[in-house]
Amino acid sequence: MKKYGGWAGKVLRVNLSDRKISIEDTIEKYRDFLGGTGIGYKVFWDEVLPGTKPFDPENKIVFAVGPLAGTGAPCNGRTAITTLWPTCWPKALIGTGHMGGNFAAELKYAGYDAIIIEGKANKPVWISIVDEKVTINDAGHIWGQGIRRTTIELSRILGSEASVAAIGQAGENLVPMSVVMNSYSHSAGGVGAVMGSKNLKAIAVRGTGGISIAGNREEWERLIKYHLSLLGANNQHVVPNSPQPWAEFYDPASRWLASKGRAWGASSPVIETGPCDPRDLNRIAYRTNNAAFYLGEIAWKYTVRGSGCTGCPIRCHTMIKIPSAAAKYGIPEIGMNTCGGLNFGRSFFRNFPDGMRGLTNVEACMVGMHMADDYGIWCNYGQLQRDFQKLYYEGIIKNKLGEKEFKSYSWDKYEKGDPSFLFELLPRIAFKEGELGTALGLGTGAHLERWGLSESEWKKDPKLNYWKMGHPKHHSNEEVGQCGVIINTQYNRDAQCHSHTNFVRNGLPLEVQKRLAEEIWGTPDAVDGVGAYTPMNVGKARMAKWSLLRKELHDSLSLCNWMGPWVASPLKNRNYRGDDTIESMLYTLATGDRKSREELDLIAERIFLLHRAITIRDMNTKEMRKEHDTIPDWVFYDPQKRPVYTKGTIHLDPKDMELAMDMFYQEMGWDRTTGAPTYETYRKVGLEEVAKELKKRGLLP
Amino acid sequence: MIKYDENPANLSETRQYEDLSMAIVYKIREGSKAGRLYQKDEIYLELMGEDIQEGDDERRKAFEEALKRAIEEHSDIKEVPGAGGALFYYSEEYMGEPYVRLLLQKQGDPLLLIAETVRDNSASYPRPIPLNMFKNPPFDFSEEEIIECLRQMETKDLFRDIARTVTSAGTVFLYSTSHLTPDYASMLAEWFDVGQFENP
Ligand code: SF4
Repeated sequence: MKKYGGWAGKVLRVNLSDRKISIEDTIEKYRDFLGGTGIGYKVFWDEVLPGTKPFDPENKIVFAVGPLAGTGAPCNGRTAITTLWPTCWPKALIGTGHMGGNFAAELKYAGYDAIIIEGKANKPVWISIVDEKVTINDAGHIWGQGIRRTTIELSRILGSEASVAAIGQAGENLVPMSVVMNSYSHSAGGVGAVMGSKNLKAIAVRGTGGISIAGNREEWERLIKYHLSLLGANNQHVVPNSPQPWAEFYDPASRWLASKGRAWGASSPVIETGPCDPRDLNRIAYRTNNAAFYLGEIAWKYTVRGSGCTGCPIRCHTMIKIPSAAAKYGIPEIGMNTCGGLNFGRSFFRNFPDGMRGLTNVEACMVGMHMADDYGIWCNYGQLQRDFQKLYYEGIIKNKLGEKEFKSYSWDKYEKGDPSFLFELLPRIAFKEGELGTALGLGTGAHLERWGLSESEWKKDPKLNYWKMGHPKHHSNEEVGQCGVIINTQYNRDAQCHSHTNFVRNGLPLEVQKRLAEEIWGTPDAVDGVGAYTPMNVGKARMAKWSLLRKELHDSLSLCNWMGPWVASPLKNRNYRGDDTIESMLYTLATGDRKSREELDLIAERIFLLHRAITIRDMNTKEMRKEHDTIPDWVFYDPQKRPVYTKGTIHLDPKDMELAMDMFYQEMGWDRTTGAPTYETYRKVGLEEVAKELKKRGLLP
Repeated sequence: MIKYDENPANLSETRQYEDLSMAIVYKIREGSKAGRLYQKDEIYLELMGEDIQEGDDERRKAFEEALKRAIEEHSDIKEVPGAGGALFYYSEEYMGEPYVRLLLQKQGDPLLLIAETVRDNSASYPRPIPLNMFKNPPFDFSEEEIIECLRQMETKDLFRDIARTVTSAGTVFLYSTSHLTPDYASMLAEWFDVGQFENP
């Protein structure tokens, strides 16, 4: 058989019920699905029967990475985790979570592209992987411990270079809103309780091997440099946040914060980020400071440095040191995280005594982050906190709790924005203590059902960001109009797609974005200004398709979709063009399997369609348009009752969105009435067997 | 004779120059990298260690010639007149025209600098901009200076199009009514200041 670079070549299967450990050949079985979510979906299509529930031993968990994980490709540190999603409501369906950190690379260095976990251990265990040596071990001594302690304990056994992916008490207690976490701050939500249901506390992996690159070494190094030259800051924001000497443009909303006068104040010596000319590839890591971005200017003086996944120069996990938080709350003074992690604690509160960007907000961030990242609690992209605020301020919590339980919380502290309130709330979620803790831990859908609240109310409230099936939107019409809405209809959890938002938020003026859009999607009208939407057109449908396919491609190759695609760049001499063929160039050189951009996109489409097919099979309906691809009411509602397409409103027209879905289905080659892919479409992407199976089940249009 | 490395990325501050013209080139490039426009007398002072008015004729003449050569032989070195007619030097390799414009405007009327920046943002991106941005380089205004500028602007017809909107978080944004409607400006300000953080 032809030898490929990139892939480690083996998939590890661990059955926790009979403790059988076996190896499969990646290339033979999974090459057509690349890796990551591709392997995950393939396993679920082939092996997990419809009707299986998340906590059944028959459910599986697939930790999978792609051929670029562990190589020198920038932003390659993401592990995709596929399982039946416990917060997907009213019926659990397939979903994926993604964690960064060092797990992906370590897994590859140990010789594996994926781990398929199946069955259920009869008592708590952890899996040790040291190259070929794989063992299932008793986890009695770490069961009941938080993620931090577990990580330390297992690192003591395997060495500090091992990567430990562990669950906290939330996962052990089968709290659906729980995570698995590795490398201190890199989590994947929703998966913790599925691991807990299998009595699996952690997977610790240490690899001493390497990844071979099939292509010529110099060519590979040139390509990496070229890719680096196209990088922006986090989320591929390609212009700085304030005027810089080298920059033609700037955008106060950009995550490219580096500037003269802005410094990592808690590093020793203090390090000034400086103007960070994009041609200086050695200073990419100074561009982003997500603590300052989210917590405000105040965070600069507490910043120690950036941190992040293997092989990523962006370092979007900012490390901060807050001695006052340690002194007041007895937590470690240093912490690090990015977006959702930084926001976890502070987002429960509506106000702080010193304002939303003062020191208390930073302290609330620290308290929330340390507790959530140790107990392993998930925020469901902020839905937990939004639900909490609504439920409290509308008096629903008071109504639903008994008086004794309600009074057991210091609501005065909460209303004043005292971070110590989190010590009362978060442990009760992790340990399912009391009605409030238990209900919040279920996730929105099951929580609403438990309290007899109507999901349709949630779908009306634009402030809640709630979308469907227990999950919120993830970049929809608030910034990308119809394209964002289409993308948010497609998954069984929040869409987690950044391809489209990375483009529209890149900071370039609209005119430049339109020029690039014309090159990529055939018309400048594919993009609108934020809140200056125009009626649907085919460019927007193409952009939606492209965004979704690139997301799946990245999740399968192990590239970070929080950075890619790289179709815009900070380079004036390229007219701010990026390169839409970066992924195929990296893939081709790494693996030796020559694929053009179009060919790789076809594989991405295959992967995306397999997700669609599993969803159709497990929902047992082909009526996806009506039953799955739904849009919440708030998308069509403007509090000021302005007509659609008035500048300054983000609401859309229901009829136009029907047209948008028509156009999207047409672009995808799906049936417009049902929203289900046709036999021919499955066949074209190499899924004829899938089409046959769906046909047997009467699930083709 | 020292061989000069022509790759501007390999600049070294400690390099000793035998050729005055090259020294001028590198001085200007370093200035541009750091966001500084040089005037002739500033370059003279830094390179020759004396005030240009006090230098002897021969040295001044040599300097003038070297400066001329620097411009002729290095296409990135540019000369631009400021508001009062004084000439400024920069390297377009390291400093873009928009930044040069800001620096030149800064030497003139601060009200105009703020207004033109606001108008430019409202017209081209389009977006309102937070008041706080004027505290950053190259503006470097203090809070008090910004407030005073805004107070003065309110009294002048020339700035009638400059308007404010305040977000739910209390942040003040400026925009030009010639390019953005109040409704649109306030929605965009709210998005930049609050919305985008709720949609990370
Ligand atoms: S951008 Fe952040 S999450 Fe993505 S690979 Fe880099 S460090 Fe990891």
